[in-house]
Amino acid sequence: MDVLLLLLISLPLVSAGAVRLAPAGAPLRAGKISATFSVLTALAAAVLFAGQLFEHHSGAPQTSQTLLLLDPLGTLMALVIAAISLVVHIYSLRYMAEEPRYAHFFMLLDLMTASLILMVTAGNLILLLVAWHLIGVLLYFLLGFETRSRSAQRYALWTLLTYRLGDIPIVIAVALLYHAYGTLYLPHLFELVRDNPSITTEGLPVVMTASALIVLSAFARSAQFLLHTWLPYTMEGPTPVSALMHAGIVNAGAFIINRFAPLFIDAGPVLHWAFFVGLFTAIIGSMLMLIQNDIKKSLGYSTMGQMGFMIMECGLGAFSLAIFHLIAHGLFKGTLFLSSGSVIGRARHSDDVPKNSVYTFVVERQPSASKPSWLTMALLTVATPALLLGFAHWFVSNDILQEQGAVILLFFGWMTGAQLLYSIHRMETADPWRMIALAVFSLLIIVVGYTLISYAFGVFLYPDEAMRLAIYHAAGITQPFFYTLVGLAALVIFAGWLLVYRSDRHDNGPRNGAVWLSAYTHLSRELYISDFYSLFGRTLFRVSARLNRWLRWL
Amino acid sequence: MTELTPRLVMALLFLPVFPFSALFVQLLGRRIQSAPIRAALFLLWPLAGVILLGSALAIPDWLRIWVLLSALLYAVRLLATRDLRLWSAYLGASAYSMLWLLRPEFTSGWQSALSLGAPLALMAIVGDALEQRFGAAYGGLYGGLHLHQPRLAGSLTLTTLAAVASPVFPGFFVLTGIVLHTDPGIATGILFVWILWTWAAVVLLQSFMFGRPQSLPAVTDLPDKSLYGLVASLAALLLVSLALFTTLLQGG
Repeated sequence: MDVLLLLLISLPLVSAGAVRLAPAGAPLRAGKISATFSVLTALAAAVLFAGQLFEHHSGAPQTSQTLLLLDPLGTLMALVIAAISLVVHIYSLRYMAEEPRYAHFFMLLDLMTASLILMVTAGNLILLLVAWHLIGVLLYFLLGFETRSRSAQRYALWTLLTYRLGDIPIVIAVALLYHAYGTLYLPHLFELVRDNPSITTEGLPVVMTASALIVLSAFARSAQFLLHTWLPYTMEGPTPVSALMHAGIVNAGAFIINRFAPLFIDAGPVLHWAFFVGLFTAIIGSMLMLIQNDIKKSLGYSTMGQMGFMIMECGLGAFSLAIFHLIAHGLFKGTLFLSSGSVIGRARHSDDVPKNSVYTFVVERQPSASKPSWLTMALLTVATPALLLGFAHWFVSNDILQEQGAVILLFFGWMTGAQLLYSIHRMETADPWRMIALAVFSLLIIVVGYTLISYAFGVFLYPDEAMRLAIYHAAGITQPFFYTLVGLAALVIFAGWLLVYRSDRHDNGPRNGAVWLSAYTHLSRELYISDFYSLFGRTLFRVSARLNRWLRWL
Repeated sequence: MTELTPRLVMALLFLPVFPFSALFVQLLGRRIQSAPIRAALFLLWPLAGVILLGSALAIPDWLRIWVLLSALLYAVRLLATRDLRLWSAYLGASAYSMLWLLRPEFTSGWQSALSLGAPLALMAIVGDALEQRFGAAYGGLYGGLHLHQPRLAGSLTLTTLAAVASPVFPGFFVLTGIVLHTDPGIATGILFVWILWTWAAVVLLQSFMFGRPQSLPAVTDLPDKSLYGLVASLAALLLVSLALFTTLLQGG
């Protein structure tokens, strides 16, 4: 297994070297070499993952070396990275064929794959930092691949700087942990933390502080609010890079929190903080997504919202669910980006809006024959998700309602399910009952599938049940506060539904009021956050130029 | 307060701290034209500094803050600098001053000085190649370097990345080593300086790669001999990285 693990990291590196050395006159050959290596990498990752599945695992690393780690989280993530990289490689073979630096692109893609795999399999803090940092640098070159576009370069720089900003907390966390526990080897560190979690340095509780710093790094990597502006703007990079970034790289936040999971058992307040930041990001991301008219930017904000959910799941103690979310989101967002690239490509060659069955269904609405009554639909939308979720979770574990995090997730699933059914009810169709039946059936499959798979993920990633429960426990809050929070959230969502319903019934209703227009204006300017960053950057450049003038002899 | 002994003052010149850095900046940024001499000085200057500093000298807190502020000042000044010579001198002033914060019992002084100095020496050589071809190594004067002189552009990119301590170059491990063995406040300061380096490096590279490609008659790219020399030097730096990485692990 050790050899295979080394091979897994080496294959993309060898590929990058081979691509660089490929004859200059035959760039397409470079792409084929790279794609072949990515197939081999995916195979190696699959074998490692299968080995991990079949072996009896106790949570301890199964490698004899101290630099790399062979554990369920690392092998699962390596498989996901290798699979997404393979898809992106194959897509890029033709998509990038007209690019003058075709071979260079594949070399960068291979180096990125190697760095990502190194990050998830690093068992040593320094190696983790190397990979963590390197990903930002390589992403800069990939996003700025289109050197003729000034805006692509500008936003690639934004991304790099946000990533570098996110490097600061994790480096300090590593320094703190090293000072306190005197080891850089992760499994050893976790053992020492478990034995003595209350060490302090200069009056600071080490575990709590390091956890907070790690979460801060995760915020920068996963585009949480105030550190999100780079994500929706990086759309001028090549589509395969957008797919790789939105499907894989941006998920690093949930990964790093999972990687340091044993620390969070003793850092409950940090998890609460992550929950609120994730929640806020999900709301802001969703609102900003709604007012975009560019498909890729809209997908960018959608990713921001999803990242908010993912961090929120971590904040609830549902670490393994965040990993499942990460994979599910990665797969569908990757394909969405690749598809959007194709749609944009087709649109550039044709004046017509691309029409297909989905377009006809959504845009050219069919007249409705007979719609179910409002009351029937309200009952159906509220009751169906609750029943489905309750049944599915009871099937997995009948005491799941003891965990606050699980209750919040069920509550969230219920609200989302109801919202989904309500949206479908609003669609115009010739046979509404047929559509509702299909929607309920789809929801059933999704809920049961999601519940079973997320439970399996939990068992696979954290075989030690006590640890799973300890993390959930750490994420818990006091009962009165918890029930107040759930009640408040229910009221806000219910009020939102009423507002949407009312505005649907009265076309000239509240949406034209001063408050709505004002909200729309501020949202359309994306809350001025990117303007503020630009202003800060310009000011710093002016300061730099002035200093150079004043101190020209020094 | 630590007494300013002649040895300490000399160290302030060779691990340049503002305003003592004036000599270093004037010499390497403005006065010395010869690329080989500049390259040699980039290597020898910090080596002299760490030798003068030795391992016995206890650095007082005020001096640690002073060197950090000096490093920050030059990192900010880098942002608006387009002349490659001056840019590398400012980066040297910022980087070498941080060697004051090195803990020689954990990280080798001469290895660290070499790790920060060697990429700047290579930049001096690449800068000279640019000056020979275009008359000046000044960002924004011509664009599309990567399209017409890909070898030169690649060399400039890699040496700049090495100079601003990107992984997997040795500067990364030097700075990580300093951060790992200092207190959180100083570590945060170092990391902010590091971010400014990255920012400045990208702005510099963009100023060479962007814009309208120059319409002069075709300019020759780096010849094989120079390219192989640069590649061999960068490969040597990777070996230094490996040594520093191993040292860091032993420290841990």
